[in-house]
Amino acid sequence: MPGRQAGTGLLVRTELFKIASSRWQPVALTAVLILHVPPMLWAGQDAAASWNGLRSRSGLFTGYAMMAFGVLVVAQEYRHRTAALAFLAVPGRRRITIAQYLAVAAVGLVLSAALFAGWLAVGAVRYGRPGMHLDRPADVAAAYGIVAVTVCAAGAVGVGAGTLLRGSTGALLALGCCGAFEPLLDATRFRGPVTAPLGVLAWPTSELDTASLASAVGWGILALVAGLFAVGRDLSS
Amino acid sequence: MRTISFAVREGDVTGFLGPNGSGKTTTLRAMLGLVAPTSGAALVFGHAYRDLDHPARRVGAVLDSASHPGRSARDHLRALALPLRVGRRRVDEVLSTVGLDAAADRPTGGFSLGMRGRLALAAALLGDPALLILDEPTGGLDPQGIRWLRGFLRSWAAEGRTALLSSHVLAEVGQTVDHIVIISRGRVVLDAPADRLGGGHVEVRTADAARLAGLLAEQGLVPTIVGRDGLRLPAGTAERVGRVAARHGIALVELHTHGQDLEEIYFALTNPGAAGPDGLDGLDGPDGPAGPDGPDGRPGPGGPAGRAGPPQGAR
Repeated sequence: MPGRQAGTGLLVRTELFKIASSRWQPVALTAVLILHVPPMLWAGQDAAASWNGLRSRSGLFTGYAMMAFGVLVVAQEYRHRTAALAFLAVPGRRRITIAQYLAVAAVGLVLSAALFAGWLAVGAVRYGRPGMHLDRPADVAAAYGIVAVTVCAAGAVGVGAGTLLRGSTGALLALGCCGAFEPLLDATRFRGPVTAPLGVLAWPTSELDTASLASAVGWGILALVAGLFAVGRDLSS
Repeated sequence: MRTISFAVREGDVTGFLGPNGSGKTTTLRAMLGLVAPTSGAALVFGHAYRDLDHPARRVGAVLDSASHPGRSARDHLRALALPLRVGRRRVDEVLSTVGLDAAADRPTGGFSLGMRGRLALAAALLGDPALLILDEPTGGLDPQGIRWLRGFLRSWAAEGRTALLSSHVLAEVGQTVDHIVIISRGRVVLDAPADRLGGGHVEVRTADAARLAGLLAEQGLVPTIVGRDGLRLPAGTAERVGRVAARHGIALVELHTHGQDLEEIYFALTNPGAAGPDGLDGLDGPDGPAGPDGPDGRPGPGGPAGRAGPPQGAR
């Protein structure tokens, strides 16, 4: 008897509902947005600095926030033992992990888009549309595209780590250790799972470290694939 | 767990007993696909749980009182209802069924253990399943909650639905179930109908034994006459015997229920090195549980709702 189960779209909706209906998660996400308002209002720079800071301002904090958020979205299911309930409703566990990732990515995209648009609007008001490359839409789209890809990759690392370790403390500690040791070696600096987003977004918008971008995407894919394999482990209690 | 094999008959409430650490939870989780057995298979309605069509609409499970503490009871259930394509109305129905209407919009972090237990049951009922699997459902419940759960299970069984109830609290099981499976140290040590366990028989002594036997026969109770002044009847008839005797002025010298109760049997079977309990002839031991199968070895009427066992089955 083949299983007819809820589609991925419905599972993503379920994950988004879980995020919206828990007490702290909407608050934390709103806080990510609100924390950007003071620097938007009071940061005074020239047009070039404003454009070159666009990617980092809209994506860097959001990327790491999504990495942590990805860990927490998954880990809380194990911490509060609701993972078993989810797996009973949808025995195809990998689809739940994919839905969790898509929900985290969707949140990350919305947040980064809002911040990108906010910083872009502030720059345009202060320094004029040409100063923020609004007369060159391809530049703007490419800048946001890189932010979006990096934020999604960071979210994938978080979801993968949370699924592998099934606990927020262990996963965040593991990522923290990676972040502490990666800068020590040339081979891992801005290439490791934690510092690769930094290598993409910390530089001016006019520059792109493609190796860091490839590393960020690669680590995101690797973490997610590892999570898809790990999610099938026994859930004994 | 080694060579665990038993079947749950459709329409029965089956008690799954065993000491702590005997493998009850692991067995139930294996049935539900949460734990993969190293060998063998656990089938629900003849299929692995994951292969069922809409499994949570056919099987409801209460494994533990899990919920996000920051989410309200209603939202907790809605989050579970979404992938089942179950509407808000059903969420309200199950909240009402378990008596949580008034607390529906409170965060579950502030719930008592009893309320959490009711919420877990509400979650299991969301898909209006035919089979309920409950793992130690009375854990943390106060006496009122236990009484409520017992009543719920009785009404559940009265609707002809099936339940598998694990517990180590014998009193709660003995009053509720139709069938009992006992495991100990990872093996099934007993698999038998509840009415063949623990009841024993009623013994009566009176100088008017023959007259009383006739009166009881008119009531549909056919006693076995033992000696000149003794009668023996099935367990559970003592009160009726006493009333008939009182109504007709028959003096009773002796009226008591004789035989082992479930607790004695349980401890005899789960206590290492203990001799097997008396009076279990014909019941199934660890080497060959017969269970509810029909005479041809197939499941009885309706087939087994759930079955855990080795690949080829032990029977």
